[in-house]
Amino acid sequence: MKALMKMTAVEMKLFFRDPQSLFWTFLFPFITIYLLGFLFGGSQVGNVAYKQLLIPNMMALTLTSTSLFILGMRIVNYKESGLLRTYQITPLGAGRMIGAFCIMGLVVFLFSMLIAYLSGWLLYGIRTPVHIIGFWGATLLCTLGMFPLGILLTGFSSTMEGAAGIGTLALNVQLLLSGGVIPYQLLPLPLPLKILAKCLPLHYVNDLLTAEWTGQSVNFLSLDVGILAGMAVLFSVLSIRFFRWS
Amino acid sequence: MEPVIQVKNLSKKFSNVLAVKNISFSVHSGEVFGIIGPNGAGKTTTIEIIEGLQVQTRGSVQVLGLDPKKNVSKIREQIGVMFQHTELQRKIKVWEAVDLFSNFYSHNISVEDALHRLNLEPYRNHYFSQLSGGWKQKVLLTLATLHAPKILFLDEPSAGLDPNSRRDLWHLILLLRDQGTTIILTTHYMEEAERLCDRIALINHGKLVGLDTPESLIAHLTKEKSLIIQGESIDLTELKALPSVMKAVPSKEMIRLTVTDFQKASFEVFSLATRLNWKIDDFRYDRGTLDDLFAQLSTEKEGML
Repeated sequence: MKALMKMTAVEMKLFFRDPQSLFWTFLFPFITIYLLGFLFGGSQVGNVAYKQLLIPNMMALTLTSTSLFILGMRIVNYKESGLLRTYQITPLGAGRMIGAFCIMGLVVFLFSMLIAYLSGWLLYGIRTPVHIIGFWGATLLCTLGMFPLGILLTGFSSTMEGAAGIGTLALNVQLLLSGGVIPYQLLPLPLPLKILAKCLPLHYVNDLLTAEWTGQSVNFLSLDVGILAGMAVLFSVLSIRFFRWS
Repeated sequence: MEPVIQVKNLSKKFSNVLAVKNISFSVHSGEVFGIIGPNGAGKTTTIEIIEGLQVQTRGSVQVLGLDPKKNVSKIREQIGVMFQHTELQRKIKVWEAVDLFSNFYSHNISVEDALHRLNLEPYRNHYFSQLSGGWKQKVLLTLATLHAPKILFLDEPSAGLDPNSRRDLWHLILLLRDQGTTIILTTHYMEEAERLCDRIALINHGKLVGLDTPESLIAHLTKEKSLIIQGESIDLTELKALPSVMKAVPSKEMIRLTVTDFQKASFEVFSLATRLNWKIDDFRYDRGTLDDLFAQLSTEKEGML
């Protein structure tokens, strides 16, 4: 436990020492919320105002990008520099290493979301989630599913270039098909792509977060929860099992 | 001395390539044991099997009485490894790195003691990226040794260092040896191997081709004994005619004599010089070095030794 906590603390410090990280954590959510609200703030999605979907959609986008670009690429960077091999030869172990990164990612993600929410509240009067407890549970579940997946996917590469390619592909495919910035309900997708979209993790993340935030009734909420819980277990096991130190 | 590492009939196959072929050796407690050989000789694979990073195809390995295949966690509490070309996070401070690594081990480790041991206190608040190559290596050595490992593996520890930093590092390595740490060293700097190693295993084409002290290896494996002579009015033809001289080759202002016996050849050369009034300015034995041996190994084809 002490190794996990110490590594989490060190990674947090290192994250906030990087000016680029500060931009993506603090400024990017504000800019994005401002722009999306400015452009589409008056739209309706079904019987829900688009601005009420801004935060859950932004969360889905941030979860995916955090998992791929903050966690996954950071680990690949350490792999490339030989640091992971130095960790490997200690009693640390892949589970604690991934655990520390996921906790760090969760803290960074919550910071971002706090900024996003405060921006949305101040600029557009966005309300708090309708189901507060359900929303926090959904956030945790989505985090547990998405973070190990990002680490697993980018971990197939041993270079930053390769990881960036994997990350960009995984992010854009999911954003285009499953929403994230534009709600997937608004995307004019042909049937085969709609089916494909339902196979992507982000679809369920979006679905669940939106439902808990807006209080919309969702017919398949238990399916979303089941799939995300399954993802959390499966991707956690796979990311540890196939973790490559070098 | 008791063996802390025992390797018996070790082989490792990668698809169709046999990278390590039936290697056996043991490493004694408290010695500096060098493993040298050309690139691709199989030394890294051998070491990684001992460290528990790879699994052998055949043979057995015991590290501190434990099998790395079955007891890798216990072994990692008792060994330290300093890999070649390793970087820490650019913006981690020296004390933070030491503090982080000290938390990986089950027993309590004092960060202050660790910093003090290798004189890192003045750099404790420096970012890793701000350190020179020599200080980076010292930090990495500190991280590899802060849990007082019984065995320390050093992979090319002084690669890329200037001569002063290299000598500093050698001093620290010998200090660790004197404190009872067994050290396994791989290096391409033959001077480093000669200076530091008590014994050396030579690996080539996956086979162990020599295992002895550096001096004995040079004596047994370098095939030629040479004398270097320099002076005025030396006659090459007269030198070639001496009974103990096999070959005499001029090289710049010197002459290199390949001889059968140092003592006899020296006596014959000085007798001849006295008789013919040669003025000898320089006279040296050249028994070869590990460099010569390494070069010889690198050019030899499989099965020649």
